[in-house]
Amino acid sequence: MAEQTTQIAHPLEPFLRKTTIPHIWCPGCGDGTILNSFVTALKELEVNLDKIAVISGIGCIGRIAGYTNTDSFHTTHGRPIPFAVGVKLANPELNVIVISGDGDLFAIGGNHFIHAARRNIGIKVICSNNFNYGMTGGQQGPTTPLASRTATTPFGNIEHPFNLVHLAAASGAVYVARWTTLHVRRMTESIKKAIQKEGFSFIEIVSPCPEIYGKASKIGTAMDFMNWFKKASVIQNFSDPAQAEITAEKIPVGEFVDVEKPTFEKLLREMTAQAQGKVTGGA
Amino acid sequence: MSNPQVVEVKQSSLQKEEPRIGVYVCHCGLNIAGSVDCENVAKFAATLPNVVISRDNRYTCSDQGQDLIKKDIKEHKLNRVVVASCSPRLHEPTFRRACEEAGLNKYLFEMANIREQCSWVHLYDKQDATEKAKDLVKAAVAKVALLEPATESEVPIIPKALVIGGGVAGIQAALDLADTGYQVYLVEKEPSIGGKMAQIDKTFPTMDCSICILAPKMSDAGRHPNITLLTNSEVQDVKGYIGNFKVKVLKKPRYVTKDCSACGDCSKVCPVIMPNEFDVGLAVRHGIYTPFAQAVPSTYVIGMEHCLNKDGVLKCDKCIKACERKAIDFDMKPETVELEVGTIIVATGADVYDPTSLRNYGYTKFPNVITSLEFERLINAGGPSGGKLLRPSDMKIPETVAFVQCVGSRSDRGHLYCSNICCMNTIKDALLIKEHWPDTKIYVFYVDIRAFGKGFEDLYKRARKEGVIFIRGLPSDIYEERKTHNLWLVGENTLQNDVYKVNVGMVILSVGIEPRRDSDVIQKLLVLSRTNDGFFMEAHPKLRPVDTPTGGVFLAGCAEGPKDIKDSVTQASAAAARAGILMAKGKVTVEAITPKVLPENCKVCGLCTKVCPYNAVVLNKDLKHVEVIEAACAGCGTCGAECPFGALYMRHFTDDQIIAQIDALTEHDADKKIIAFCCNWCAYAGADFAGVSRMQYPTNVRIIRTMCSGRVAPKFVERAFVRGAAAVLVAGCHIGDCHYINANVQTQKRVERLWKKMERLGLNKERLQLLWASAAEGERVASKVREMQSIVQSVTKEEIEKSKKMTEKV
Amino acid sequence: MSTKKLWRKPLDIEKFKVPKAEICLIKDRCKGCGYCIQFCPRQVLEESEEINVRGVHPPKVVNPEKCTICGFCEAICPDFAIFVLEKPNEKKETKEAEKNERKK
Repeated sequence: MAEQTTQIAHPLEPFLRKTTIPHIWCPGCGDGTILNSFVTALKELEVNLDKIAVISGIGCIGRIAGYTNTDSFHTTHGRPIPFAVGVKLANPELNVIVISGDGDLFAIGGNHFIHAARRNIGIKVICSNNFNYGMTGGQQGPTTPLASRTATTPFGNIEHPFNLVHLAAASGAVYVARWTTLHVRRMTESIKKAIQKEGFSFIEIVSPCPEIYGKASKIGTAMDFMNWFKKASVIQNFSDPAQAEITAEKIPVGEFVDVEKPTFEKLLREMTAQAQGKVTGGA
Repeated sequence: MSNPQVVEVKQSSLQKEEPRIGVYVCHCGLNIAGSVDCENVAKFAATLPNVVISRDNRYTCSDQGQDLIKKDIKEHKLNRVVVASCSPRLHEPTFRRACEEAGLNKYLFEMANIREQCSWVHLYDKQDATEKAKDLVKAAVAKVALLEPATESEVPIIPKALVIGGGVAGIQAALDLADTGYQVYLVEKEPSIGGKMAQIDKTFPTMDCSICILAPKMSDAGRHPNITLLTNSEVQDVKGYIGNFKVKVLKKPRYVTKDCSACGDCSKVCPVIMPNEFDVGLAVRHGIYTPFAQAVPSTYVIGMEHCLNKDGVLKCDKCIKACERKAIDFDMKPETVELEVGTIIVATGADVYDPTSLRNYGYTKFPNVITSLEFERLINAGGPSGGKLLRPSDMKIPETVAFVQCVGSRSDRGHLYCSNICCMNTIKDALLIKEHWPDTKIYVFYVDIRAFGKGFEDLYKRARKEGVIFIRGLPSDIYEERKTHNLWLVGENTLQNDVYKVNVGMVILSVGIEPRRDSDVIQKLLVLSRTNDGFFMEAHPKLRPVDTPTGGVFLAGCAEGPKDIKDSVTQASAAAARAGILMAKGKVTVEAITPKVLPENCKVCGLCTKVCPYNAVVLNKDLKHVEVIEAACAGCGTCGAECPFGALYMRHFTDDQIIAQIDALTEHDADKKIIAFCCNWCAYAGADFAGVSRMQYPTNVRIIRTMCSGRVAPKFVERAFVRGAAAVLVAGCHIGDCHYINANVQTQKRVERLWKKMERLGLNKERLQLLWASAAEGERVASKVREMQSIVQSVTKEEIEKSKKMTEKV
Repeated sequence: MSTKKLWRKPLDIEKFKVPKAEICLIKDRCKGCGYCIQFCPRQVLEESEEINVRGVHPPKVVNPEKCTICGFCEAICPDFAIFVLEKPNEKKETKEAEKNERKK
């Protein structure tokens, strides 16, 4: 048992960029746990790190691209998905993973999301959902619960939030899951599954934002968030995504969709080969 | 879950045609004719209203006698028949069949008991006996005139069975039923079937290895195409009635799926370690485990109370990572399944007595005092010590051991009954020790050695030959030597009139068997009774040992009482056969003595629903009256006696019919008579037994038969007094022994209320007597009648006059 | 199987050895969120009195023999400040089971 700071390196060091760790996220921030889970998934899968591309958007979570020891790109606000689609189509052998926030992916980036899902492009999207725009001061976002107080809704939010798993499932994603940052092991399993699966995969991770959202909404500290997750989470594998809204009393988590569908890049390849075959008159 | 049998019964339709009654007074050779003038009685009967023909003959139950009745029915267009002869308990079915064959509905027949309850008990009083016979015939004629035709309804039986409990009895019953071709659900609370037998090392008297003979049966049960195994499951709810039970079973999650190949890799890495229930805490198991090596099903199970992931958050995933077949699923939820079955066999087994409360034996204080179950695990080669009998204090093999018998049995510091198996178990254990360590000195401290079964005495002899020392006298105290943890036993050797003080290395307490601590649950769900010992009660201790009073539910194994494996297996096959009879018939007929509801009178007070021992009367809030579930009704009549509004029409024992009998019997000389209401199963049978035994008692008692003493409504007693009867006797089964589970409790309440009323009216409440007598207690009935003579003689004319006020409200 | 409390010390308890844990802390990375302390299934960690460079109290190990190397602290730490290793070739006797008995 080591009382002193250990001299042994953390087992996940090879997956992190030495120059950027330790990260700038707040104590207890869900993004830290997501980073931990993500690189653990990479480690357990024993993937070739040269075949992984991590794309992030703008927000606290956007900094993740700079922390992983993979080829990464930190894009402009709302555009990680189109960037990722380009990367994937140009080099289909890469495993392209988008990690971004709720505002980035579903407000400004909403249109990109639904079409990438519809087309079943083989990218994996991990959304860190902290119910607000944290980095910029805690403004209301597309997943902020009704009646919540935020920086831009001092009298309470009058907008209904998205049910992200429902949106993803309805848009055609082949793998949809939701976990909280308390369910680290299951989250890692889901990430591993998504990475290995062909097609558009979406994982929503409900994250604590203790400094910004926690204070505005009166949820409280990071531990209060975790206690809420513990009390309210209900594992409902393969239940109806339409019924899976997040409320103060209940956070339905689990894997909601896991199906197979031909991917965009595969169909594109086949169509191209077919068309070229006809033109040259070959077999 | 009701089977609505609500029929609008209009009173006017009851008596469509004039009764044409035929009366047959039987001589029964000289059995009746010897003390009753049958010709005279027949002549008298001819004078009664509605009697068309009246005969006396020698043997009415003979073919000739029956043919005569049949001929008369056709020729004289009889629509009611009375036979005055022996007890209806004997020949009612015979004559009913005769009537049916002649085209007369069998419910239009009545008997007068002038043999067991008249000629045989008044052998030396011909005149009074003849008068009594006339009275009884008069009462029968009065009742038969009011009887109505009835058809018995049929209830279909689902050809599926539920066996509750997966010990050797449950397994045997399930296999027998499945082999017969029925679908069987075997529900077991633990993760594996096998029960106590799987924990035992060797069985007596053959010294067979217990698990070796059990495992093939367990395997068969697990593989049988007709058996659905529901382990780690408990019965939550049972609704319905014979042939149509709806059962809810809760399947507790194992957290391991069927993909498990029982390789054990998960167990090896599990960090949670705890005492193992199968080895009675003598060995250790992991948080993910298989109950024992031969478990069926062999799938592992996670004991969630101690798993690190018990709050639902996956903290430790060692077993998941270790499982190559990905068979572990922490998201499993409890599942409730609903089963529809026709019969249920209760084989829930028994628990072992915990001797901790016997402080003088030092169990849990002294490590080397063990119970017989712990002994089984120690001596078992597959057990925690590899088959070595090790002293828990120092892990050495003892040189001297002592067995103490009757721990928790035959004692008021425990249970009063004998636990059946402990004597033989100790003899077997002693021989096992001698087999492995022949030089061990073995003492057995006993009260009696019960070696009653096949091969048992031989085993006892063998043990004595091997040098096992049997001392008659249980130790009063056990002391421990602190350093060596050896034990001193002190007691009286009663055969040698001496005190002993013996030093041993280990004491084995032969603990008794006790009823399951959670048997209340099953008892309430299935409406079962328990005997004073706490085990489930059988319908009849001699003739129906595996049936319960509840139709369609049977017992097997130690749930019914302590017994060894052979008897458990025997009972299990018996229960399977009994259940098989029902399911083979495919339907069950309900005797037409169940009540019919008169909805216009029902005030929905619910009193009837509270007294029914079978929950067969239910309130239907939509229809705004009660309903009777015919198939669940046993016909006791307690509901009818409880109803203050006349909403329940008690077929074949209606208020009018019983009052007609009372009136007939009190028409003459009521002030010298005792009117007795006796229940069919106990008191009436007891009176019959008095007759069979030729016990003599005074002639002034007139017995009216009801199925249960619970049918006796207060108004019947009042009527008898108003009519001038000197005394009234209400007799039924002993409390706790009621044929209808507990209906006689209502009888007691009603009689107590009547006593209070009599006191308030200034009447002598001694004139109303309450008697509990079983079918074997003929002498009790006879002596009661004799005892009541003094009361009859002391009744004055004023008292009789005052009694006419009994029906007034006080 | 009896549902009564199992009070005996199992005879084979000495045979069960669970790997000994080495809990490694990178104290200066810790931001004091408290997750590892709160969620450890065996309450192995507690908040220490010392202060690290960030001005917070990192955890300290108080019950190292209770650690089962489940690795939950390592998995949930947002800052990669704690991880657990199995000490090679050193197995400890299970005081677990005894504690379990007393707990029951």
